[in-house]
Amino acid sequence: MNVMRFVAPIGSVVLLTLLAALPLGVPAGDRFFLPLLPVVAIHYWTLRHDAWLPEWVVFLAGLMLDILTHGPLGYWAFIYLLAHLTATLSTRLHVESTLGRLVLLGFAILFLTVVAWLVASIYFFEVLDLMPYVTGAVLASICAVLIILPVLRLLDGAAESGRTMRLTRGA
Amino acid sequence: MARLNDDRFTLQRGGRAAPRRRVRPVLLFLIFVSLALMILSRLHHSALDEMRWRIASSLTPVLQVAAVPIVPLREIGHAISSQLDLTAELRHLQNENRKLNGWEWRARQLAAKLADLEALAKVVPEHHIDFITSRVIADSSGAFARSIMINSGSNENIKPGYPVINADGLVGRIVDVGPDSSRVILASDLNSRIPVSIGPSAIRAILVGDNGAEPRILYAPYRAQIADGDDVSTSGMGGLFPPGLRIGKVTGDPNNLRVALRANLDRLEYVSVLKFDGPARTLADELTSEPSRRSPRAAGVARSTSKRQGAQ
Repeated sequence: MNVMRFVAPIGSVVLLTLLAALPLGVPAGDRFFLPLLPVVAIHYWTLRHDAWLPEWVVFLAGLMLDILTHGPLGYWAFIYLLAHLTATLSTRLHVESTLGRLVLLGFAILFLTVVAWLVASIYFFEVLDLMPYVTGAVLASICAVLIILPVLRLLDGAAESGRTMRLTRGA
Repeated sequence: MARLNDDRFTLQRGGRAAPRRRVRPVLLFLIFVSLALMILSRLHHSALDEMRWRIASSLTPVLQVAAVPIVPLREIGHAISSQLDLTAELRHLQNENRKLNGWEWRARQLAAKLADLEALAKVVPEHHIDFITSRVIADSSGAFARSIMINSGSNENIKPGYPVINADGLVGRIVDVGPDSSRVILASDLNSRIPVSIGPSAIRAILVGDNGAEPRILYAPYRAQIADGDDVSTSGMGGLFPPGLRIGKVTGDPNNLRVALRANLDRLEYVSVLKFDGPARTLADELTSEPSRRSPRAAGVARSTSKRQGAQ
């Protein structure tokens, strides 16, 4: 396995996690999309059979964000592990087309946003405003399509030369 | 073992799509750990808080390095938004300058009168408050908290509870201190409570954050005459904040009074930490510095009091 198959997934997830804690000058109410950006990377790399993104790296990335954002420990770790889980389960659907994968990613972001809102509401014992979360999901989806996925494809392409031959059963 | 020339096997370069993947038990275990950590956080387990801050302060160098490429991006964004607002800003500044010219003359007169009155009444002179200016290295604003991390800590003699301001007004206060970094809880944070003075009649109240952009005014006296646009500043009650730090202006309806903060908490780059050792902190420091004179139980109470005051 090429070294990039280790570096690219872990590096991209960690960088996007750090980005979510940096002072970007984004209004506090609009910052909800930033923690959703690592979800895009987690989803992307989990779907790659030869990319190395173990569950504990995802867990640690979430925990790091929890520490830096001073939220409850385990909150983003839980959401990121759910992102890993949804991506793992979506491999059962055998979606091969680019559009199909984008739709899957969109559904994953939407699902995780609802879970994030639900868990935060339970944490505070009150129904929180859903709008910032929805706005965050929309912004994260736009960022995913315009910026993150093209960059991840570039990273993936850089590692493609090292991709091994695979023996598959088939007709 | 199957032979490669078997009809049922083909040799091909690995596709991009993953074959069907199994959910490994470790994933379920880590989800369980995350949920357990969340419950412990909800219960405000003290060991977790301490560990969290130690890890966060150890990440300071990483954040400082990561923030370097962000600076030009922020400046570009700031320049664009400034350019867009330039005409309106110019008009606003011209009007403000006209008003300020009048106020300057009035302020000079009042300052002279105040100095005379203080001399007559033998008022205890206020001490000069030292300060240090620091860069914001992390923004923790999200669903759960409104706080920032700055790149100065106990090495610069910063202590929990110190007020934090910028050129526009009060930003918040220090709650956690590491060797080279500190965490500042913003005035809009859910846990922020600031004693304030409102309007010309100096009505006392408490400014309470709710993670929104405009904190609420609570505990104002019954039927207090608070009007929209009244200035809000720190009252100095409790001794944690010096009196007279500008905070903002009253806004909202009388049943839900809020404060539009002067400081733009979304675009903090540099902030100043006031090394204000008020009477409350001095007392707490004295109590904690002499634990040997008292029983271990009393010393423990003093430590927890100091910590609580730092968090308030």
